[in-house]
Amino acid sequence: MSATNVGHADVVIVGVGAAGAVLAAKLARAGLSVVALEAGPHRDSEDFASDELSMLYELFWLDERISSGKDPIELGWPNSGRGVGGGTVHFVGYALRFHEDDFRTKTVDGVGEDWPISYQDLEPYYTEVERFNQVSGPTFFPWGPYQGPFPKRSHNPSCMHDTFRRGCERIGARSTAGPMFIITSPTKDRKPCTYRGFCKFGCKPKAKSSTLVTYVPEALRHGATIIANAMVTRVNLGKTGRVESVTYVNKGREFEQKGDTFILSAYSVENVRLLMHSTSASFPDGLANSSGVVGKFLMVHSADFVIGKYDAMIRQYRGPQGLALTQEWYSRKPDDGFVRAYTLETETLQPIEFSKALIRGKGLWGQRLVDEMQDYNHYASFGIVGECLPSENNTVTLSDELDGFGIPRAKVTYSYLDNDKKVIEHSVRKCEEIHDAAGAIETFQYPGSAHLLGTCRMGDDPKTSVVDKWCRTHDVKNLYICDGSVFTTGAGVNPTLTIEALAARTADYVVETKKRREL
Amino acid sequence: MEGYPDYDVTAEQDSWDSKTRLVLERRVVIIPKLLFFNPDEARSLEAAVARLLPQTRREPIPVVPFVDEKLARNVTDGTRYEDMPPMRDLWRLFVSTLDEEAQVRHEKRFGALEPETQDMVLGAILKGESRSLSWKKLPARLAFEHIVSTVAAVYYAHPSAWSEIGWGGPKYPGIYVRVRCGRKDPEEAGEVGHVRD
Repeated sequence: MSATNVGHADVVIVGVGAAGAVLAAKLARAGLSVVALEAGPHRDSEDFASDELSMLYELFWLDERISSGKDPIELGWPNSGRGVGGGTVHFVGYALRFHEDDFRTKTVDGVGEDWPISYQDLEPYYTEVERFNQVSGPTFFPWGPYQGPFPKRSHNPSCMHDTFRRGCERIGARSTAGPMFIITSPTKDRKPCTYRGFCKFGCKPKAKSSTLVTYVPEALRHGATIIANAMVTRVNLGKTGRVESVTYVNKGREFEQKGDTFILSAYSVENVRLLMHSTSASFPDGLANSSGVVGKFLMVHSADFVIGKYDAMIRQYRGPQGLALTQEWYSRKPDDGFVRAYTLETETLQPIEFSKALIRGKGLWGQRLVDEMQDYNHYASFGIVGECLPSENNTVTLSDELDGFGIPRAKVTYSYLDNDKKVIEHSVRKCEEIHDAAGAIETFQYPGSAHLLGTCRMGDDPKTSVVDKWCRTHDVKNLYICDGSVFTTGAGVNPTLTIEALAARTADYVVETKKRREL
Repeated sequence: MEGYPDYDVTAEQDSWDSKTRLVLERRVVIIPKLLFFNPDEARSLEAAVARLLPQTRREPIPVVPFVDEKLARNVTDGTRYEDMPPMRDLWRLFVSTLDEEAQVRHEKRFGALEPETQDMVLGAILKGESRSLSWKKLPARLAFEHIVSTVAAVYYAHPSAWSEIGWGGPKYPGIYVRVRCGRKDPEEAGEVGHVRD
């Protein structure tokens, strides 16, 4: 089958999620011709059903991946989206910056690796994306390098928010309503949050600043072309050592999109699958993989919940899905017996996920499961976002099994390191203390992980990293990788704000590079 | 009596958006025909589901037809743990293990056992203490979680189950106003025995 040639663009972007949408918007705004290819559909917010089950099977990347290792992770629901907007269509929306030390864990704590960039490099871009997304937040944020202000006021406190913060106060820990990617007052075509806890299932009022309702319309307004249902199957290297085109499949037909600059923003599993599948004489082990690092140093966040049962009604379905948080124990030092960071956050579990929590967390089935579900309104759910350190042994590789496009399925191997386990232990204990202080009658732990980071990591040394500090691959001059997969370390916060800030910075660099060449 | 006997989440359904109404109407009205399980398998699974999620309501929420539909369409959940068989094989194995285990222990088909005996057989299987060799090889915790949470997802996607647990429903368009502790909006469920809130 020969692919139909569909023309040439200044920039071709693969994946329109948190990073791809920011890139498309900024590059198109700068006057470049942009084609962005997205494997899933381009939905309108009105397409979302206000229904947990059907959205669980619509918004997430659920093509099978094989999960192995000592602590095999759940893929799909906790960590990857499908469709324009990507994971931001189903993220909870905590908009947290890294702290300064998060960029230099090796220097400060002797673990992990230092990023080739600092907080100061990213600082203006954090501000830029917070403004564009109209992040809502508290008047004073107590931890880290940035105390506010945020573009919009924070959300009305819900019962779960109050319960969490009451518990924190009683054990002497500061807490706050979090900065959120959710607006609190209307904009031109978006309504404020309606407090029904549906952030993970597509936000119908468009209150949540997914890139579907922020950067994607901006990209289209400036003339970017977004092609939905376009699964990129190969990145094609030309004779000059530059990428010439990508091949994609749309409605069963194969197309070839040529371009000048290419950016992969398909996240930590699909980027690797695509690079590993795009072998050539010069890159027998996968494109841009002369280092052998592609697919290595995969990181997640430990995302265990501690769920407390109360005599009083909590009704956790109300409020934005996430709201209150504390970073009171953010920077751990060797004296604590472990190092690095975590954040504690509230997160609503709607009925189906709550049943899963009881099944996985308490091993319930039968009458006991039905009985505990009956008390759904008496439970409050607090979650951890725990930093997991990079390890060469945590990987994304190709399996022997092919998917429907003829690309080998990904095999994801994950095992927690000792320090990761100590982060979990400590943060779970703190959650329990907060619940106890707030008046919980009992608690249980619902283990899990979230987010996919690393696998194409950023660094100065081409032997130990895949991209440089601008997200350009060390090996191929006109190929960039830009999304969570370039994270050198993961910090103890939700990654989206940092992914968008990185994308905003890379976009500026691509524009400058092109200008310089024209002069 | 506890719970929310007077609460019906669908009382609000006229205010829900049309897309959501369509999805829910289909779920409640259209019960898929069996395509994946044969009638014998379906009977055993029905018996198991009745113990995994016991229902006392007059009109039980159908579960097996929706599990069957998921399997017939091979709608996977994104993760295949390394030691687990593909989803469809796992369910066939689960159903055949029910009867095999019942046969070995009690010389009857699973469906013919008393509920308490069914619970013991199920409990053994879910804990990985089955005598069936092919089931024994599976990671018990993961197999248990997949089976039970698939069943629970079908059940707790049904509006009758939402009414049962006092969940607020789709609530769109609309907005919750009284969201702090001890307060509720008029249309939210009130729990019997709870004076406050």
